[in-house]
Amino acid sequence: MAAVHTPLLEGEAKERGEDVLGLSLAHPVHEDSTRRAIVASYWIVVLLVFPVWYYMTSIERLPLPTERIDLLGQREVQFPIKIDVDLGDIGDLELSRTYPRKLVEDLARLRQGSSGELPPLAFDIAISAGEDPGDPCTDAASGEEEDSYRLHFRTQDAYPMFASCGRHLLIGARDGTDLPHSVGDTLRDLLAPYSNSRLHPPAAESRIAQYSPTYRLAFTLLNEDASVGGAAVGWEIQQALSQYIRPTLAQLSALHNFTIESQVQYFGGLTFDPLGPLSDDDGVESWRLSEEQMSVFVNSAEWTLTSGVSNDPVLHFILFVPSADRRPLYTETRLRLQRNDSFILPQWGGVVIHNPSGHHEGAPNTLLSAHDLAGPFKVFRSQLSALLGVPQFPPQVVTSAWQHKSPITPWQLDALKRRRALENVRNSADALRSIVSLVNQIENMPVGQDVLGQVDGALAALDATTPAASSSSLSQILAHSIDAFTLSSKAFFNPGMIGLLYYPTEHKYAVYTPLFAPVAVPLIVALVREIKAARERRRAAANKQKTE
Amino acid sequence: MHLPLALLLLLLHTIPALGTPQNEQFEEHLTLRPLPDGKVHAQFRFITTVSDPLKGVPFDLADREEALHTTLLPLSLTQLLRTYYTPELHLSLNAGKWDPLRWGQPGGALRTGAEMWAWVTDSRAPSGEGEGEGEGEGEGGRWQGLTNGLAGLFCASLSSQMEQRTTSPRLAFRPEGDLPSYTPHKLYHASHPSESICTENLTPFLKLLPCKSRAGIAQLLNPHRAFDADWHGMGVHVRWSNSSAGGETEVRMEVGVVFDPVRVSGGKREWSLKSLFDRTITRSCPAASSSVLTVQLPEEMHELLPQPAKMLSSDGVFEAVYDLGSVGEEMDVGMRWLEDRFDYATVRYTPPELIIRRALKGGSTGLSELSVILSNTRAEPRRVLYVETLPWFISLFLHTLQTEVDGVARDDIIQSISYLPPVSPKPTLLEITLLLPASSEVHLTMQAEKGFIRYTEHQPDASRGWDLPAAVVFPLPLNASSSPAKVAIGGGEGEGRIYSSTLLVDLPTPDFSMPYNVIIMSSTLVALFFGSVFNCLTRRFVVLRMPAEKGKGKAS
Amino acid sequence: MPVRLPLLIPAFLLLLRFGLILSPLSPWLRDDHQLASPLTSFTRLKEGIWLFQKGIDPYHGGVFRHSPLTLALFTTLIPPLPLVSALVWTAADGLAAWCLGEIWRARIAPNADEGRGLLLASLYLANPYNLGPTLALSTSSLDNALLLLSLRFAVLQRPSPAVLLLALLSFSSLPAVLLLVPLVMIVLSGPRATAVPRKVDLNAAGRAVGEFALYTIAFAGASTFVAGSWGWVLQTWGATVMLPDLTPNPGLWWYFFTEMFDHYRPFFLLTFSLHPLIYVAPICLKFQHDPLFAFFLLQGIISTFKSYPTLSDAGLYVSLLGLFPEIYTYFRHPLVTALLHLHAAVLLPLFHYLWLDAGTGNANFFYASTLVFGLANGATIVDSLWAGLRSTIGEKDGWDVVQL
Repeated sequence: MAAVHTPLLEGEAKERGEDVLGLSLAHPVHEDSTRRAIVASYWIVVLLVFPVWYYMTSIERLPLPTERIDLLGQREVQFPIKIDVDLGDIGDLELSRTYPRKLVEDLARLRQGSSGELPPLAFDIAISAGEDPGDPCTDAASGEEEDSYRLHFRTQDAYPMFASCGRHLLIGARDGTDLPHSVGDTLRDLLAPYSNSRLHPPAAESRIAQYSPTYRLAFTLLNEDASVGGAAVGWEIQQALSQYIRPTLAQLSALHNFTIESQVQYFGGLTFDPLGPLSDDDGVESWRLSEEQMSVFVNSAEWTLTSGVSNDPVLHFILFVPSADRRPLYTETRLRLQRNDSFILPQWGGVVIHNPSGHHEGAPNTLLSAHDLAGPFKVFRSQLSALLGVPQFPPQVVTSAWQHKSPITPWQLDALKRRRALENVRNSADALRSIVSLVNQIENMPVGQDVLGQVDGALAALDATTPAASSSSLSQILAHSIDAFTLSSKAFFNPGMIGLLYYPTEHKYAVYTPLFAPVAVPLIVALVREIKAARERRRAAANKQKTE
Repeated sequence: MHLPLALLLLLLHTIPALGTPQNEQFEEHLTLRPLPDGKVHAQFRFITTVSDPLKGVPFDLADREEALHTTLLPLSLTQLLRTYYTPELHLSLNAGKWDPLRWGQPGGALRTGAEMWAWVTDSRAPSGEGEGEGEGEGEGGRWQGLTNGLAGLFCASLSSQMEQRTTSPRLAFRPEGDLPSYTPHKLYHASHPSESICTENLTPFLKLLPCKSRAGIAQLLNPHRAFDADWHGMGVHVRWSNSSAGGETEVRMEVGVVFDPVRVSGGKREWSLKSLFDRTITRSCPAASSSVLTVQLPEEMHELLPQPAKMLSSDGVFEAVYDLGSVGEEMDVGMRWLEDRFDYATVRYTPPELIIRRALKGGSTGLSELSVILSNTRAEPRRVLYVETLPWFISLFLHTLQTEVDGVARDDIIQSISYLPPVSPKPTLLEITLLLPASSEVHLTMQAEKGFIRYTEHQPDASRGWDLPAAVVFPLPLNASSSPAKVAIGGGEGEGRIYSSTLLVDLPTPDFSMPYNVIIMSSTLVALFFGSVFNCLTRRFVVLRMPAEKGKGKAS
Repeated sequence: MPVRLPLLIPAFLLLLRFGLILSPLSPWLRDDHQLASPLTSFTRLKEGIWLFQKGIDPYHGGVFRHSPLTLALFTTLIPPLPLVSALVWTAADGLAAWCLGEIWRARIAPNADEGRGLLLASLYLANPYNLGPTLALSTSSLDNALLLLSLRFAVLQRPSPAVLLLALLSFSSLPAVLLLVPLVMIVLSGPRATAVPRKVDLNAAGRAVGEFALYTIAFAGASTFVAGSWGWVLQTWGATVMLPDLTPNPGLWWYFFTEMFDHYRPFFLLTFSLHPLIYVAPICLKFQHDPLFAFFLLQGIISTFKSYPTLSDAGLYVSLLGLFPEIYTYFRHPLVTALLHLHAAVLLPLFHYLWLDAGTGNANFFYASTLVFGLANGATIVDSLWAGLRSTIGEKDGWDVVQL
């Protein structure tokens, strides 16, 4: 058997007289302390590198404020509505006492049963009576406060049943008892028109384009075939725009930023043939577009209608001039009252067909003057309003003459703002919740500082829309809701939020294991050995102390 | 008696009045040029000129929010240029190799593949930029946005690997128009040698024209025939000039095709519009203020049908001019020669004035040699600028640059060198000004090294190799002091620059199937070493007494 | 007067070098990937000099990766003409060989064994691992000379010149910084092996390290002055750590990082850079009694695992092995190691030719031969390490020494 030779044994061997010269483990290189120092030095480097590795290979996932996002559902936006009722010269004191209560009851009913969804309105009603009536439309036409509406009761016959100017509603009450529509219903039609399914049918709802802070309006003068003559080769678009479209855009400027572009096309062919020629009752030949054909009217493959430079949503407005051998062209309508030369493509834009007077081939080409464009652009204006969600004005209310300069009444504008603000708040909350669930689901998705900043910004903007916030006028709520919408969209569509889906965990192990597993084994084994040896030594030292 | 009147009325009815708005003008022009080797070069030019500052490219950076109303200008292109503040843009997309010996050197963008250069405003926009424009501002951001927009507009992958292909040449490429003077502009140039043109590029190109391909000259552009030709390409050139009040913007869109009637018809070089394009012109474009077909007449006996309305002569070359402004029925032009078959052997070519040949020689290892031969066939010396852009993995060793004139080494040919070494991933830019002696051949050589790039940087078809963009030679005026004269609008295009061919370079590739294998093997070696050293250093030595063995006598 | 015969051999070898450098063999070898790396190639040096003289920043691109001090040297003192460079490289090799002899003499002092010193010098000069890079005018030969000169001063226990030269060397070859610790140990304890560890004079050690730092800072300042900006740091030292240039060389890094995914690249670069660092402390601790041996082992580790090695690194390491004849009897597998070296020496140029010149092989062939080369070097180091430890124990019949 081989005997193990240790320094202790060496001493014994020396005593025995054996020659052990030339073979000695006494060299300091073999000391235990050296070995411990070596193992320690290896481990120090490993431990120092560990945090660096962690930092280098970790994905930045900053914590999102999930508690605040969870609480979003419990928040409610409240739109403050201040109604001043001016009973005017209703002499009946009895009525002037009971009527306010009836009004309050009517408004309370507004909140409950209704055919559509009502926005959350917080009413603040003040009644004043017996003052000098005056004509609210001529006094103080400007300087109206936001969110504040006034009802004026008048008993003179000169006033129609319901009339409105600015944010005033004049009610002609002869004796105050028999009003064909209750004041409450009319107020509902003015304040919350989207909830009235007669005023705002589902077809109108489906037309409304999704909200976006910026819109691009693309106007196109589209000739079907300019080579056969009788085409419109140009138009005075700038004048027509400034006359008809820009006032509306100015009114809607609180909601959207608009960019306008226009072009003229000479060969915008249709992919189908209109029905015709058909003779109508007067013996005039015309061509017709059926409803099916209207839905495939836009030939997106051939027509380049917009520049496509930015990612803003586009509303297209086409003034279509049919070719000279297929004129005049009308749409099929079943209702007599509807126009038969224009139609809206929901959420996309509108088309107006212009049939110039030159019917035959070879007619000279014309330039459309602003006068020619008056009709089409009025239609474009109403199409634009419909696409952007401007509600219908209730037919029973008469608007006064000066309303025509600004085509959208403040009632409609306020209702639109409320609708959009509510939509934005809801969509932002949805986006934020989706972000949280997405980040939780995909483990490799990085969350950077910019995303966190945008989420925080969106939450702050949403907080500012609640009644608890100090600012609570409609325009401020709208502005905050737009901020919230923009920031939450940016956060959701942030390009850095693409998860590292290319590196599944197995690949990570496959790359790290070949180097670090065989390297770790001797390190760990040595460490364990050293720890055991140290424990042994301590036990031996303790034993020695005990025995001494 | 009634006949002339009726004819007159008929004529009146067939001429639609061209009521185009003022300030905008559209002209189209087709030039057919029979070439000495039996081929036919057809060059389409569509030029839209606008002298309304609101419709062109704005120079006032605050103008951008103004609405854009165009009638004849293509809306998408103009809006793109306005968004990225680009007063001058040149884009060309070609396929095939232009043969200067047989086809002449008309100048222009004749580079194989895609080439694009533009002057982009360098300053930042004023405050109030909309969302989504954040990335478009600042150094290089506008160029990136512009190329992305053009790539989307023409369905060409012009924006891929932009960083690896974009350079900013210092001496080459002068603006053809004017640049607005109160804001600095930066020139960006990029080329994609392996990008070729096909129907999906031609279709959006045609949509930018007022009459598209329904009327006028553009009717002839039949993709089946055009892309069957020996050389075909399209180009878009936008420039602005300060001539009239507010400036004038010109958008010039070109399509050039070189047909080979001899190949198609089997031996005869007669051609007609029908035989070349398989189409004829049936309608004239109502938006065009002038629509002209020009046929350059060759020197031999030929017959041209129908008889042209006008004959012009310029520089000794006769041209037949047809006015296409009022096309009643089909319009077809054809040329015939009095011969049965075309005989290639009888053709005499005049050598072009400047020929450039370029090659990359050498095996994969060691150094390769970039060899450029510039031949000056004129009897007077010429001064040229040679521009070379190579991708970042080709390293040039300029200290080995040698020049030989007709076999004799000379030092005095090179006048100046401007060199920008490649910083991965940006390419090299080498601009050399040379004085070529009269009737001589100058041979430039320098050593280049093909780099080794990462596994992830190789192309999907790595064995094919990389295309090296063509080198460009610009003729310069002989006196060194003046810069090359600016070209007036409507004058010559392209400054007579000449392109070499593209080169295909084969880079040594790693084995693409091996990433994990390599990781495992190298890691194993390192781990083995580490483990052995660790064990050696930390294990205890133990002395064992060996037992005495019979026959192996070692006394204990 | 009669010249001693043994001196003729190194003289002849030097003359041979001089002649071969001037012959057409040298330009042919100049860009061979085994002999010259992107950090040491003569062609790149000339390109950098040309760029510098034309006013273009040589550190702007990735062509030139020599240190600014080398640039300064070759633009001012030594013009890169053929005759001058032949002289310089030959002189460097001669200096290196002479230093090797001096180190041996210092190690065996007070005994004098002139013959073996000369033998070592001749072997250094005759070693094809050293001859090749010199013929290729690779600046790694100059680095070797600097290293051996620094070692000689250390062996003579003169700290200042040793540390100065090491600082200078670290600008051309960053991993040489790891040799500071054994060098200082040699300065303090001398070149001979001792049985009893000396007390470490911390003050002297601290002074030496401080001087090294001072020289490094001074040289860094001079480099910045020469280069005009701090861009050289990224291109020279940064290249060693970040491996921007994937040109093949006999080392282990290039193919690993050619095939590595981008996501893991920074971490593995860090690991591979720190890998030689982790050996400094253990080896110096273990071989406190013989710091020259520690130096030798660390130099071996560096030359095997550095980012841009050439054959001259292996040549230096193998030549240093000649300083320790006492361990030869304790090698466990010398034949295997020698055959591995021979194997690698044949395969490396062969597979390089097959891959890049003939095109009939692919990159894996050359990669495999670098693995064999790495294995050969590693085996040499491990064997030397074991033999060095074993030699401290001694021999006796009937007793065997093993490791648990």
